[in-house]
Amino acid sequence: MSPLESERAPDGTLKLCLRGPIGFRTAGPLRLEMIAALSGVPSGSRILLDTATAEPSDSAAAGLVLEFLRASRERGLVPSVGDLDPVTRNFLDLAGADLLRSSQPVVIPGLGLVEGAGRFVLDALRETGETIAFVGRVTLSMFWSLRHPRRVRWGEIAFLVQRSGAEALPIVALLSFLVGLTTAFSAAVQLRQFGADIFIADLVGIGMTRELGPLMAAILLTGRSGSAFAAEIGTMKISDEIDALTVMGIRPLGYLVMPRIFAVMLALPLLSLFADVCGIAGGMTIAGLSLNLTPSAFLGQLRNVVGPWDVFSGVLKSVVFGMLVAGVGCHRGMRTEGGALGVGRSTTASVVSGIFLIVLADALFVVLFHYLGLE
Amino acid sequence: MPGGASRPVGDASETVVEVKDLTVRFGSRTILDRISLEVRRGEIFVILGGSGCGKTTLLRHIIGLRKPEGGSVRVLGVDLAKAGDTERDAVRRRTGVLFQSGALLKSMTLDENVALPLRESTGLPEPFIRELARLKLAMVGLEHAAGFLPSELSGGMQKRGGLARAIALDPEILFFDEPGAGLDPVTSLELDELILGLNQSLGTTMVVVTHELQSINKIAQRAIMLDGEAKGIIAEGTPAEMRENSPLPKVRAFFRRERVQET
Ligand SMILES: Nc1ncnc2c1ncn2[C@@H]1O[C@H](COP(=O)(O)OP(=O)(O)OP(=O)(O)O)[C@@H](O)[C@H]1O
Ligand SMILES: [Mg+2]
Repeated sequence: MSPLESERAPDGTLKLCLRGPIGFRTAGPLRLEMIAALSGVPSGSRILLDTATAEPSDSAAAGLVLEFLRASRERGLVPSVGDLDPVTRNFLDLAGADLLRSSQPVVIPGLGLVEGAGRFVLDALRETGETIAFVGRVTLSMFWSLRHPRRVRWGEIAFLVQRSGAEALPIVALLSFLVGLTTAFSAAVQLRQFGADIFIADLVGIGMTRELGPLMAAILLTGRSGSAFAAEIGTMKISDEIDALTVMGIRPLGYLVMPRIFAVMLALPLLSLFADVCGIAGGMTIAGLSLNLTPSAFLGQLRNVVGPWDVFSGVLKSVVFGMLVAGVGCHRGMRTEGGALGVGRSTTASVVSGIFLIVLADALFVVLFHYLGLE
Repeated sequence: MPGGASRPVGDASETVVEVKDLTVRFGSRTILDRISLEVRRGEIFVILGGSGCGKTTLLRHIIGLRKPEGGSVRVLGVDLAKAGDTERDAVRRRTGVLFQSGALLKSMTLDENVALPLRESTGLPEPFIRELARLKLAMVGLEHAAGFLPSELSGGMQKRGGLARAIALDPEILFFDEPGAGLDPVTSLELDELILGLNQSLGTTMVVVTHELQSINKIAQRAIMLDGEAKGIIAEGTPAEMRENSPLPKVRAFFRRERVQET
C-alpha cells in the first residue's frame, strides 16, 4: 500500500490521501511524491488533501499539509484540506486557523554577482568614511579631556597601555626580529654578487625604521587590541550596557572609547620603536652570519645612513596608525547589532578594515612626505 | 532655577513626561502612529500591551535612546532628541532606567556598578560613595552580594542590582522595562513593593512597562494600553476602569486573561 494515493472525485476534484505511519524519517520522499503528484494538474483545478487514515508519530504530517497548500497555491491550484487524523488536527488547531489561510512567501533570491560586488565596494567606502568621522569625533573629545584632565580615567588608560602595549612586547619582538632576518637574508644573496655587502645596513635600517617597524606593530595591534575592543564594546552594546551608560549620563565615547584610543596612540609608537630595534638586530644577525660583517661595521654604517627623520617619521606614522587601529575597533564595537553573531561580524570587520586603513594611511604618508620634500 | 533642595513631592499637576504625536518607524514599517501621553509628577504610570506592540520601543524614545520619526518627547521639560549635551546630562542625572535585562556592566562588581553613577556625576569622596552604594544595595536586598560580578548573580538578582544602580542618584523619575519578567512570583511581588515604597516615601514618579496582570493591579495608578494593529493607544485610565468600562473587547479580555471572541 502506497502512503500517498490519489483519486478523482465525481465533481472533478483531485483528492490526495496520506495513509499509514508518517514521521520525520519518511516525510522527505513522501513530500517529493506529493509535489510530483501536483505537477501534472492543470491550473485552476480544485485539489484536496486528506490524512484521515494516516498515523503520524509527530508533526511531519502537519508540515506536509502546509507544504501541500503552498505548493498548490504556487501552481495556481485551488487547494483545500479534507479530513485530518487527530494528531495532525491537534497540531494545526494549536497553530491557529490563520496558518492555513496564508502561505509563506517565496524567498527573494540574493543579489547577483555584479550587483553584489558593487554593493560591497559601496559599503566598504561608506564604512571607511564613517570610521574616519568617528575617529574625528573621538579626537575632538580628546581635546576636551586634555582641558579637563581631572575627568579623564588615567588609571584605565594606564591599564590599557599595559594590556595593549606591554603585553604585546614578546610577540612584537619575535615577529620583527624575524622580519629583519628575512629581509636581510633575501637581500644578502643579491648584495654579495655586487660586493655591496655593507649596504645591508642601509636596507635593514631604513626599511625597518620607516616602514616595517611601524607597519608590523600596527598590524599586530589590529589583531590583538583592535579586535578585542570590537568584541568588548560589541558585547556591551548587545547586552544594553552601552544604553545603560548613556541613560546614566555617562557618554560611552568619553568613558569607553577615548581611553582605548588614547592608550593605543601612546603604546603603538613605543612598540614600533621596539620593533625597529628588534628588526635591526635580526638584520645584524644575518649580516654577521652570511656576509661576515662584524656588528661594529654594521652599526657604524647604520649610524651613517639612518637619520633622526627616518626614526621620527616612523613614530609619527605610528601615532596615526594607533588612532586608526583603536578607532576602527571601537567604532565596530559601538555599531554592533544582532546578538553573538553581530559581535563576531564586528570583530572580523575590525581586523579587515583596520589593516586596510593602515595600509592606505601608509601609502598616503609616503606620497605626503615625498611632496613635502621630507625624505 | 532654584537649586536641588526644592523638590516638589506632591505637586501632581506638573507634567514630567510629555509625548506628543510620536511616530515610530523601522524602515517602512510603522510601529507607533502619532501617539500622545502625559505622565504627572508622583504617579505610577503603566504602559501595557501585548508582546511586540511597541512598549519597549516607546520607552526607548522617552529616555532618548532613539530619535522619533515624527512628533516629540519631553522629559522634565527637555526634548532629549534636540537638547544640547549639558542639558541632556542634567536630565539624565534626574532620571533612572531599569532595563529588561538589568544591563549591569559585566566587567565590574555589583557595588562598583552602583557606585558608577555616583562617582561619575557627584564628585563625592570615595568612602562616602561606597556607603551610598551599600545603602542602595540594601534597599533592594542585595547588600550580601556587593562584591559579586554580574555573572555570579541570578537573573532576578541582576535585575535588583540594576534597580539599585538606577536609584543611585535618587532620581525623580524611574523607568522600568518589564520589571517582573523572568522573576519568580515572590521576587516579582517584592520588586512591586519596592516600586510602591519608593513612590510613596520619596515621591518618585514611575513609568513602568509591563504585561503582568498581578503587577498592573498592584501598582498602576494610571495606565495606557498599546495595540500593535491600531499602532497606538487603545485604552487609558485606571486598571479598574479599563477592565470594567472599556468599549473594546480586546481591552477587557486582556484584563481577564481571555482570548478575544471572534465575531
Ligand atoms: N531594532 C529594530 N529593528 C526593527 N524592528 C524592530 C526593532 N526593535 C523593535 N522592532 C519591532 O518593533 C516592534 C515592537 O517591538 P518592542 O520591542 O517595542 O515590543 P514590546 O512591546 O516591548 O514587546 P515585548 O512585550 O515582547 O517586550 C516589534 O514588532 C519589533 O519587530
Ligand atoms: Mg519589550
